[in-house]
This record gives sequence, structure tokens and C-alpha cells, in this order.
Amino acid sequence: MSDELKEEMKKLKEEIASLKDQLKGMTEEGRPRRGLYIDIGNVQQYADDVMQSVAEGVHGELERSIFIGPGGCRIWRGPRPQREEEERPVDYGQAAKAMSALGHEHRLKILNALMSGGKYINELQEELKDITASTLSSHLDVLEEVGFVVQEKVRGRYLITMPGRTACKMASRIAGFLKRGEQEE
Amino acid sequence: MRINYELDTAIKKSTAPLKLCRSDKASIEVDKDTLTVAIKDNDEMVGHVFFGHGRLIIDTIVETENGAFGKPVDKELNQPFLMLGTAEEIDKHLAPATSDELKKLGGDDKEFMEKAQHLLDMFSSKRGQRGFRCHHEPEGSIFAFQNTHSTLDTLLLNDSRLVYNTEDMSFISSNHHSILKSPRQIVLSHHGKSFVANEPFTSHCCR
Repeated sequence: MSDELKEEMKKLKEEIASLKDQLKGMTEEGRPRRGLYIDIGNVQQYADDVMQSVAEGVHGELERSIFIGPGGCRIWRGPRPQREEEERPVDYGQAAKAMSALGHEHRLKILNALMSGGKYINELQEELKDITASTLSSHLDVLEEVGFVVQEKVRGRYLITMPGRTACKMASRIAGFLKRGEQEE
Repeated sequence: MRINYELDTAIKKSTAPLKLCRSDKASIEVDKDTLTVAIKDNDEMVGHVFFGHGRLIIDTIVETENGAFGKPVDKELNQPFLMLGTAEEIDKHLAPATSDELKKLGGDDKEFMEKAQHLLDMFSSKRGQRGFRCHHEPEGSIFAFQNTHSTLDTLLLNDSRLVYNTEDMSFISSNHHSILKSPRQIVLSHHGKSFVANEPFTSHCCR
């Protein structure tokens, strides 16, 4: 055998020894582990980023498609902080008054007409032809009294307020749910 | 030249209802027979103090994509108030008030002048603290109303801007933005985007 072959054999033996050492390090009490080995160093950070992104996306979607309450809409990732305002008992009398103001088809139509922006009474009359002028005026008074609508005193335009928008969206959603329920039956 | 506001000596009355200002968001009117005395700055007439009955309306409302915030201010004016600004139209409808007319309106010239001077002193003091500078702006007006806290509510108006400031609220409105600050809420609206902060100042932004 030539010296070259001897040198080659020596290298191969060293390589086999090195591989055996590596294999020994990867086993527990001599038995090979099962499963897939992945470096998870950055996975926690990645998961946090994904959750943050999802939370922001959902928040944005809620803002666009669902109503926002007077205190805004928030998604909390940790325990929700207690707010003094939220601990106040619900004023059911006020709520009933507001619901009562919503309890007329014409008033819901008026709120819906104002969702696209402030309008003068003649513009509302033009848009809501099935409501007479005197009825329209009295409906606006009811909506203004509960705070769903505010009228500019100088120009006279009627504007929908934040509670008014919330109420209008809520009514639309309830109607949507009921319609879906009827179809399923 | 140093500002030196002084009251004129002649007390006049309005011979017709007067519209002291009329804009998209504010209106101030006084009834017929409202008493008035001119305010001069170095012999130049720059405004008036009014004493009588009138009405102040300001639409302190901010429109946002999530709805309107605020309510209009609608006040009876039955205390003396001050106006600095354009007065040509007003002068056409003023006539000297006789002592009999002053008595009929519930006072005499001395009493009225004292009240007017007190108001002017309060305003000058406030002006000194805040550095109001637009007293000679030809197209603008400044109004100062005494409130129940014995301080002054102020209204600054010109063609494009309105600023109303009271003890518990501030409202600013110009062509593209509005700001309303009340004890429990701050609402900002700028080019269709808005920001609402509720006490204790959690907030949300709208598109």
C-alpha cells in the first residue's frame, strides 16, 4: 500500500471518530432522541409580533365595520384595566328612553339619512319623501332630545352624534340578524 | 403706539335690533334700545360696550366620521359685554340716550359708565396677560362677556377663524380643522381625520 492510501485511511478513521462523538452528544443515555430539532430562539418574539399585528387588524376592522361606543373600542392584550366609568350602574331609564326614540321606522330612516353627513331639513325632506314635513320635524325633536342628533343653531343643519351613529348601526345589525334568522327557519 | 383703551363720554342707544356678527358658526344680536358706549384707542374708535338684551349663539360642534361632538352655545345676553372691531354699520343705528331713557332701562349714566369701565378694565387686564394683538384687524372682532365666575368669556372672530374660550371649554374652528376641549373630552378634527380623548384621556383615532 502506498503512503497515500495510508494517509487516506487515517483521515477516514478520524472522520468516523468525529461522527461518533457528535452522535453520542445527541443521545440521552445512549438512546437516540426522536422528533425534529428547531432553534426556537426567535419564535416567541415572532408570535408576539403576529399577535400584535392580528390585534391591530381586528381593532381596525371593528372601527370600520362595527360601531364604536362613546368610550371608543379597544382590544386589550393583557388583563383589562378597571375604569371607574365602567363600574357605574347602567341607567336603564335613560337606556329605555333612547330605545324608545329608536322605536319608529321613520326615526331610523332619519338617522340613516344623516349617516352620510349633516343635512338641512329640506334636504331630509327631499330624501325621505314618505315622511311629511311636520312629522319629520317632530321626529327630529325626539332624536335631538335623547342626543342622537344635534342641530346647528346658526345654519340649522342636523348632524348625527356618536350615540346616534351607534344606535343606527345597532338597529341595522339587529335587523340583519333577524332577517338571517328568518331565512334559516 | 401703546394701546390705551378708554371709554367715550357719550352714552347711546340702538334704534333698531343690531347684528354684531354673523358667520357660519356664530351669531350675536342685540335688541332695540340697547345702551352702548364707544371704546377709543388714542382717540380712534375701536369698539363698543353694550348693555341691554341680546342673544349669543355659537355652534361649538366638531364633526367627525364617528359623529358630531358638542352642543351649540345659546345664551341670553343681559350683562354688559364688550366688542372690539368693525363698527360702521353699528354707528348708523345709534342715537344719543337721554337720562329718562337710561332710567327706564334700569340705571343712570354714572352707574352704566362704572359697569362699562369695570368690564374694560377686566378685558385690558386679560389682554395684558394673554397678549391679544388683533384689536385693529379690520375684518376681525373680539367679544368679551362677563360670566358667573366673574371672569371673561372671549370670542375671537374673523372670516376664516373662530376661537371661543370660557372657564370650562375652549372651541377653535377654522376652514379645515376644529378643536373642542371640555372638562371630560378633547376632540380634534383636521381634514376629515379626527382624534377623541376622553377623561382620563384614553383615546382613539378615526380615519
